[in-house]
Amino acid sequence: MKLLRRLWNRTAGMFGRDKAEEDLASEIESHIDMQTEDNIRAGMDPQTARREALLKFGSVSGVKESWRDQRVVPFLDRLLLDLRYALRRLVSRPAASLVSVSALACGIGAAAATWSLFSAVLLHPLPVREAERLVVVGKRSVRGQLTLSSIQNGNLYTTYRLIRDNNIFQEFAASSGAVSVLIANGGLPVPGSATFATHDYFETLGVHPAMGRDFTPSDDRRGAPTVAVLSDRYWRREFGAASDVVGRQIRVSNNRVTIVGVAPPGFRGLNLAEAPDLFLPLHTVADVLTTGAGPFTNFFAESTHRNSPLAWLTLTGRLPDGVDATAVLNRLNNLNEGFALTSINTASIPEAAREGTEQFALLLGLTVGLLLLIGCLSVGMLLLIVTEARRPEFAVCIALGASAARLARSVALEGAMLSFGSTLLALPAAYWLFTGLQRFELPGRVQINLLEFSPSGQALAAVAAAAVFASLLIAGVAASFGYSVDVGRAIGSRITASPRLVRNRTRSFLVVGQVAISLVLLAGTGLFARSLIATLNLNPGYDTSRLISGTVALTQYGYTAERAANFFDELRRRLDGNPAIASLSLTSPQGGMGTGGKILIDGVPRQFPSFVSFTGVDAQYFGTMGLPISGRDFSRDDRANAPRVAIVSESLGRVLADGGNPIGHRITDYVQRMGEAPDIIEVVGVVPDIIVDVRRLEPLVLYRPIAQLSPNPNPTLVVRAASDKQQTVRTILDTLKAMDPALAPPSMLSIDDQLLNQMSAQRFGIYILGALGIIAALLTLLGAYVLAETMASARKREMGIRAALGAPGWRLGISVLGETAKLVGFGIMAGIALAWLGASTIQAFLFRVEPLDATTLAVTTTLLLTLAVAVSLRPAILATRVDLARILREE
Amino acid sequence: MAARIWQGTLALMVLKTLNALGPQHGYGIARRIESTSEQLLTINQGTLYPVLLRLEQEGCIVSEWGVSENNRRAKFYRITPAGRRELKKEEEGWARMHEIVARFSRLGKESV
Repeated sequence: MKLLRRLWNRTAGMFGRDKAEEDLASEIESHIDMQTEDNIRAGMDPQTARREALLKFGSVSGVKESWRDQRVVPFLDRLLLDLRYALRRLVSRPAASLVSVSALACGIGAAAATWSLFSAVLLHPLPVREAERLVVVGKRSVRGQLTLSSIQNGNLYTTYRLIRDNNIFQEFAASSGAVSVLIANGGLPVPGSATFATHDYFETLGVHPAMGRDFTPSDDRRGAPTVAVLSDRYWRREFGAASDVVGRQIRVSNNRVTIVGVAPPGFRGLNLAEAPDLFLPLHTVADVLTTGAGPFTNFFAESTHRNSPLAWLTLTGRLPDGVDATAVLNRLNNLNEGFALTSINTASIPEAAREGTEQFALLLGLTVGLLLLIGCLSVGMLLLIVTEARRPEFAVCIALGASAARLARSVALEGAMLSFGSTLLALPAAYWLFTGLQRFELPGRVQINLLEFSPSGQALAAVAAAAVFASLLIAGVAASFGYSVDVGRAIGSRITASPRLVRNRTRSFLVVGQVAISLVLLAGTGLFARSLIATLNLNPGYDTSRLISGTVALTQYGYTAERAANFFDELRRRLDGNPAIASLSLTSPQGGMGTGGKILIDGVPRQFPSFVSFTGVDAQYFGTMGLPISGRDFSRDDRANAPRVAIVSESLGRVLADGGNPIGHRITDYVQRMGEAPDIIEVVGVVPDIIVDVRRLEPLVLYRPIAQLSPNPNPTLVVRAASDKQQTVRTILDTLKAMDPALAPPSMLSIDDQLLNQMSAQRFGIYILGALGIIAALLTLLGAYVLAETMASARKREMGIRAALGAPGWRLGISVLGETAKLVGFGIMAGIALAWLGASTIQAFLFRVEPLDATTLAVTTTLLLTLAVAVSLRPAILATRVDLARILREE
Repeated sequence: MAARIWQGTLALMVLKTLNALGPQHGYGIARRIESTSEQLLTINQGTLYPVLLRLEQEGCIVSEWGVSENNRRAKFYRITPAGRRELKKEEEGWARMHEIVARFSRLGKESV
């Protein structure tokens, strides 16, 4: 108790120091005066009396010193003093301190944001219980005789039944992906999505509804009254998070559905690229999907496989206690060959994007690591410069008896304060990056804003600790120079003409490092930008910027094929002659055939090197697209009962006719009707390739007259805008709304937009690398400037003497510029080496540009060099005007 | 070690003085200690001040500014109840210590 009280009083004693010192001084003074008076009374003369009193009191400064030690906690007190001193020093160089702190803050913020993002995608993608025991059942893909490494995670309903009935897993459930449905909550139906899942789905995943209940076996029967569990997101958006939502009714694709529960926040099924609005019992799928393809789909694979969706069920199982995945896989393969198990977290990223996501994580991680490094370098650089400038001061301190440890501590403290400031500033930086990230997609169309991830405090703390550690390390290095100070040398350096700068090498190394990192980041930005430009130049010669397309899907609104046909006739009638629209056409994408399929050409079966897409188009299509045709265009005469004709893309024509002229070749219709001989289709024309998918640079497209195909109530509208694209989109959307107010506006995008959307990862790369690269470059320039400035001032005497000996001013200027240029040159070489090492990481994301693209590197290099030389102009110009007499006077 | 014992002893003397005489200023306490020890004990009077500060931090004494008998501004120290308790404890400790040391000195004489 006594001890605590004393400690508290001593800590409090660190404040109000001046008043206490004053009090003590006057107390001592009065003590000595009283003793002096007593001595005079005892018969001494005043002078002797005072001297005796002082002798009796003892050393006044000694008393004060031990009184001070007594008054405060000496260690804390010294620390506080050092902190105040360090703060004062930092504030005296506001620009440099601010830049260093901001650099480190950006690094920490970026690292925290990235870590949180990837923890949300790669480490903890799904909020399920014991994810490590959950697996997704798939099959190894087989093509011909080859078993491929890729795994198909979609399954038939019969597979679900087979595994369920054999009790292989502790818990086992099936679910569909997010299916498009129309949801009406009181008002007009709006497009939404639903996942159909078996009654044990939530239980298998260990996900408990935040409100209400999940499915019971009696909900999950064919013909049962449909119930729904809402996703948290939909519940908040559509019901304003109403607490009485359970029991309310909505309509899903025109079926009455009762809400029984709300899923917990963050849960949105098993696929990160999806975000279903609701969950419905699996066995009600055929009752709910009564429009579109629904009624014709044999979901439950009854009797025949005709119209069975082949890969619509995701099967998720929980491994039984004490049984590993291999044992379960063996049991599965006893039932049937070719099963494969994937961990549920891995399966949550679409397979095609898995590798991309990992590479993307690596790329982003490296970038952020580099920025963090540059932040640390900046802090280190600042500390080095500070230490260097303080060398004479240090020498004097050491000569006066200060310990080297104390000096080193004062430098380390400055580093610590910079790191601390950075960590505080990192919070807004991380927040800013988070907001920016929300607009992007990860590979595999995983939309970041759907991930509902939040900046994790844990991540921020870990990164801040790493950054603080790194900058303290640098501070330690800087501080160790404090030890190397010796008085003689420090004084000596003031006498010699050109002081040897002890820390010169370390500081130069830091600048070289900064230049290298900036070069890598900026070059990366340049490469991504070039990829985007290359994408936009995919269709040279055609003006694709004013071509807009969008799918108007009418089946979901209950339109029959006939009503839909009338609707589009009416639409065409209303839009014809509209000044905003130059030309309009309808197309009907018919899917296509993947690699490995065969088509009969002139009676001979042929395989194609890549996907062949089949598209129905009307007679206006090629005119709208602006594609020149060799051969003939479709006309109104290519009716349903006319001879079957087709137009092919150049690439398809080349393959079809082995490089010759494809016109006149005959294709046997790939769609066969039961009991009828297949149609023979004659190729009548060839059009240039139009690239709408960056992965298909040689698109194999077979165009057919829309009239010769079965009517499609969900066609795609292709429009050439007369002038302003936005104006045209508005016109179309207004017309659609006027014709049927229930229609939700379809998304209308230009071909350029569509291409750019496919380059989301690259645009993301430009955003991240660009932002970080600019920060890095600014820091580098600051570094170069400070370097030139200190070099120039350190060499002032040398310059003065050279000038006095007759060296022309411009030569002195050049020598200062040369120093900077030399370092930047080294940095650029190091940067190119670094870029060479990182080339494989970025390669996967580049489009038609090499990772070591000479143009990009040349531009970046020139830019950095020019800017670095530009910032060292001022010190260089000053060097040309040195005046020895003035320098000597100053000294 | 010796310094600490000395400091502890000085604190005891200060408390004892304040307990016996009531509020005193620093000089008064120093005079009193000297006269009580009949000049056998002379201290550097300045060493008193860190001790006074410590006692004050421990809550054994409190101080306030006042005016001395010959009209000088001085800081007066007064013992607190906590200080009296501390004094009692210390006195008992010293008595015990004195007793033990005395026994040892007797032992030395007997063995001769």
